[in-house]
Amino acid sequence: MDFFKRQLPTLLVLVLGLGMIIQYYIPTTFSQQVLKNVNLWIQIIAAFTLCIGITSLLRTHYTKIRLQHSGWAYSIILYIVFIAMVILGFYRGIQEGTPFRWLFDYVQTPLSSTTFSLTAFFICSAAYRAFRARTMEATIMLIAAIIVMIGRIPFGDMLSAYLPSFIPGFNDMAGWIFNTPGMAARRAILLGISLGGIATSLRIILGIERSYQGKD
Amino acid sequence: MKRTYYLLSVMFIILSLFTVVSAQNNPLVIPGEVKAMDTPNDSADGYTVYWPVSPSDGEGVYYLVSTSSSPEGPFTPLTRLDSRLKLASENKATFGFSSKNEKLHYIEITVPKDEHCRPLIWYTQIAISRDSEVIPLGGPVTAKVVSNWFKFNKFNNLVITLFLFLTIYYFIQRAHKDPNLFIRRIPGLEAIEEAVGRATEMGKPLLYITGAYDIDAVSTIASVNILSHVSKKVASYDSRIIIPCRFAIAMTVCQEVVKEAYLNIGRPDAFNVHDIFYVTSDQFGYTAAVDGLMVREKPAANFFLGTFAAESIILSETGASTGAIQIAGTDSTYQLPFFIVSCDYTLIGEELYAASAYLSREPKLLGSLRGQDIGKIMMVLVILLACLLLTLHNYFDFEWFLFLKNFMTAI
Repeated sequence: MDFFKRQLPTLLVLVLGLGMIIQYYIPTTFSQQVLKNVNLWIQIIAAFTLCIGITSLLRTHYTKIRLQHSGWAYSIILYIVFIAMVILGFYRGIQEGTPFRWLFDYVQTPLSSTTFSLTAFFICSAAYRAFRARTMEATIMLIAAIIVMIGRIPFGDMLSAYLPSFIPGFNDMAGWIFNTPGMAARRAILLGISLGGIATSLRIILGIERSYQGKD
Repeated sequence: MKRTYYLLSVMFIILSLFTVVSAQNNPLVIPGEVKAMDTPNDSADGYTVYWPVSPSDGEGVYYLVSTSSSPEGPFTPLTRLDSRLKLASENKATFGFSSKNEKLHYIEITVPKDEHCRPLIWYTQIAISRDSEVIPLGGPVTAKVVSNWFKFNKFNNLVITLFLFLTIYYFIQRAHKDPNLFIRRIPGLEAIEEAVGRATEMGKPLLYITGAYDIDAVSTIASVNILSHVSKKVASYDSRIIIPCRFAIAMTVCQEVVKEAYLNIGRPDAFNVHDIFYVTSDQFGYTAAVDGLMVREKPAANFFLGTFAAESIILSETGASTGAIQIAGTDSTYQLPFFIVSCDYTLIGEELYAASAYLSREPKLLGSLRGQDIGKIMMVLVILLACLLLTLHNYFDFEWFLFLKNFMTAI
């Protein structure tokens, strides 16, 4: 029993981890077939786990309705919409022109877009907090942000015309901030992330890191 | 005014006629021999045809590529290449770094396969064309297509990966002998204890999000590793953790990890599987659900650890508005600024991967961090060397400078 809970998962990770690394460097037909089959298995497992996911979702909302937790009315809506979409999907299919597709295109998609549009307002409130020039770093960030904002709008070009010739235009300054210090910092972070990813993968493959299995 | 107009018109007509006449007087020049070779680093997918650039190359000149199963034809047109494009120097994986590649055109031909997945013999004919004039460049060519055993274009990648693996492994082994490795303080991870304590005092739950990717992403695994440590603290403080999941596999892994944490602390009875639940895989459906959860439950602490996309700012700003202490960590460089602004503590990039080692203080894990730092120093040296070579190449036009510079860029 201990073997199935402790050694087997680590052994599987070791074999599959090393196997997939080797596969990456071998272009033979067999190697491509292995990759294809592994991806297929991932899809099959994901399809099965979706059933677990849906069960979990329905059970969570059933508990909310039964115990009348705060917002339990939303759980009833979830049940109604879930059942309706399943029935419509099975009854008329999901292709163009069906009620399922109509609900998806005219209810689900606009709702997603609405949530996405909230980012504009949240960016404003976050920017307000970030740009309060209380420290030297915040002041530098504020100045850089103002230059970038002005440089990215047509008004920036108009203003640039009034600058003395030895000062570059706002558009050029914004481009320099993006492409030189901004890009350098981003690449430095990416370098650390890549190495961190490699080190984490190695720790997992060698079985040193087993926290994701619930082990110490 | 009128006179100037007429004069200009006459000049324009003369120039146009001159251009047409000179173009007709410059016949298309057939470049050297067309050759074919097996495309390296593939699984018998096809071969590469290459030929020298022609002095006629320019606007309006094209290379017509046609293929056939027989050298006698009939040949079926495959594509038309602009003579100013498709130089071998663009395809370093096949042609290497030589400056001579700027004088070669190429095209990769995919060969059809038989019922046993064996490549058929397939012929390619190249012709140069301008307007209606078409001149074949010699006879049809073909090459034996074979399945390669190793991707030589990934050789530099393999060398660096092996170097990093060995360095990290060496420091993991060294950590056995010298377990007192120094690791700098990471405030975001120090704050976990504070966040769990605060939630316990307030009698409110903690919210934990593992990011936008499923368990096959390293960032999600790193997040789950941190979850293991967080949930142990939650179990020992007798607090509550809510984990809304975007993927069912991640949900089952999280359930197992939290359950094990409660078992390890000796409080399996306090584990509630219903607190770790699936929401939806849809990006903004999930965001809306978690926002609603934050507003209703008002968690005392929010953890956003993993890879995030546009939802990062919506989640973290909603969390900030509820007054929760927020700890974020991500490897998405575009989302980092949002988290830094909205959250109390942010783990930047690699700190997310280092968190598990930091929290466990396990010498072997800390040793891997030292190996990671050595790898970083090596990368910095490679970048500096590439910069130096690029600068020198501008002053001294040596072929091997260009080769080394290109090799470094490829790394």
